[in-house]
Amino acid sequence: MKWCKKKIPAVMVCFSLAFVWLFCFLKVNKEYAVEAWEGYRLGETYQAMGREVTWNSLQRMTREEVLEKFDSVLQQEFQQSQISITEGENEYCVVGASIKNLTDVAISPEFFHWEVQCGSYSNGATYMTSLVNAGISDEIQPGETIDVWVFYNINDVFREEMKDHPIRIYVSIYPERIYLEDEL
Amino acid sequence: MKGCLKMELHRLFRAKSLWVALFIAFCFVASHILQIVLPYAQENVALDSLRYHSFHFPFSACMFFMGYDMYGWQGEILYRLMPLLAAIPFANSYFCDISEGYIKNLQGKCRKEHYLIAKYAVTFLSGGLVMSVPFILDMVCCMALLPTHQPVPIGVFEISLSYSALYYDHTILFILLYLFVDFLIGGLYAVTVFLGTEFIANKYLLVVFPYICVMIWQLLLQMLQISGLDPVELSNPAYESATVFRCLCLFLVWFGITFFVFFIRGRRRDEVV
Repeated sequence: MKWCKKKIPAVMVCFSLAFVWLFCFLKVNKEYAVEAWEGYRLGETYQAMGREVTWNSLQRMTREEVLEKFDSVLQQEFQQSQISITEGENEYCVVGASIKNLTDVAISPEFFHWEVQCGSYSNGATYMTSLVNAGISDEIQPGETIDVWVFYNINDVFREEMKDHPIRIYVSIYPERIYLEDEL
Repeated sequence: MKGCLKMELHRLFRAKSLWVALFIAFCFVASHILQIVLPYAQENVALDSLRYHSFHFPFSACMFFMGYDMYGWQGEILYRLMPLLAAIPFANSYFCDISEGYIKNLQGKCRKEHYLIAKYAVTFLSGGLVMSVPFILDMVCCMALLPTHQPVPIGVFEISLSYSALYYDHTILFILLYLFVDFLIGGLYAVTVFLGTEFIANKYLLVVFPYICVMIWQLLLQMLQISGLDPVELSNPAYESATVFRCLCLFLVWFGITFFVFFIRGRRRDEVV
C-alpha cells in the first residue's frame, strides 16, 4: 500500500509526459510532412508545381564541346571565359530536360536551383547554371514547352564519386521530394 | 555475484553525485533546447508560408540534435566536459570503499572477484548513463519540436561526416549508433579512474583524473600528428574522423588496460575482501 502511494503519482507523471511528447511528435510531423518521395530516371516525366518536366539527357562534356554544342544557350560571359575555372574542372555534366507550363499564367522554368548530388559530392551553392544559361529568366507561356540544359562543373571529387554512385539531380525537396537519378 | 551487482547498483542510484552529474548535463540540454531548437521551431512556423518554394526545407530534428548540431555551443562543450562528468557519480567509489573501510563490511557477503567485477560493471554503467542520457533527452525534445525529416545530402559543402551513408539513408540508426558509442566511451571515461587509484590518494583528484588523461592523450595525438583516435571526436557525430575500426580498436585497448589493471591489482590488494 505504501509502495502504491509513492509510485502511482510518479507513474502518472511519466505517462502524462509520454502522452504530451507523443502528441507533439505526431503534430509536428503531420504539419511538416514530406508529401512524396519520388525518383525519376532518364526519359520519364513528372508533374509538380504546375510544370511537367521530362528528363531527356544526361551527358558528360568538355568545355570545348559545351561551347560548340550549346552556343545559343550560353551567356556571353561564359563564352568569353570570364568565369574562372579552376584546374581539373574542364568537364561538365549536362542535364537536358523539357519543361511544359500546365498553368493558365506565365511562369518561370525554375531550374536554376536544381542541385546535383553524387555519393559524398554535392554542388551546393556552387553550381554555375544561373551564370551560364542565357534564358534562365525567360518565362514559359501557358501550354508552352521549352527545352533547358543545366550545366554542372565536374571537379575531382565529383569525378571520383561518379565511378561508384549514380548521379542524382534534386528538383524539389519540400513538400515533395523529387529527384532525377541515373548513371553517367 | 548477483548480490554484489545488486548492491552496487543500489548504491549507484542512491548516490546524489549521479543526479548532480546528470543535472549539470541537463542544464546544457535545456540551454540547447531554449537557445537553439525552440527558435528554429518558431522559424519553421514563420517560414511555412514558403511551403511551396521547392527548396525551402523545414528544420529537422535530425539536423539539430545536440551531438550533431553545429549551430550551438552546447554539444561541443558537453562532449569536452564528459570525461569529467562521467567520473563524478561512481568512479571514485572504489577508492572510497577502501579508504573508508566499507570493503571490510562486505566480508562474507561477497567474493573478492565478484565485488571487483560488479564494481567495474557499475562504474562503467554510471559513466555510460551520464554520457548518453542527456543526448537521448535532447533528441527526444528535438523530436517533439521539430519534424523528423530524413536529411537530404545536398548543401554548400561536400558531405563530410563519419558514416555519412548511414546518416542520409538510415538517420535514426545513425543516431542510435552514436548514442551507443557515447555510452561506451562514457563508460570508459569512468573506469579510467581505476588506473588513477593506483597512485592518487585523493578522491577529488581522482574525479579529475580521466579529464587529465584525455587531455594528455589529445596532446600526444597532436604532437604525433595522428588523427581519428581522440575519444572526444569519436563520440561526437559532428566530426568526420570516426570509423568502426578506430572505435573498436580504441574501445578494446582502453577496456583491456583498465579492466586488467583494476582486476589484477584489486585481487592482490589486502584491503579488498
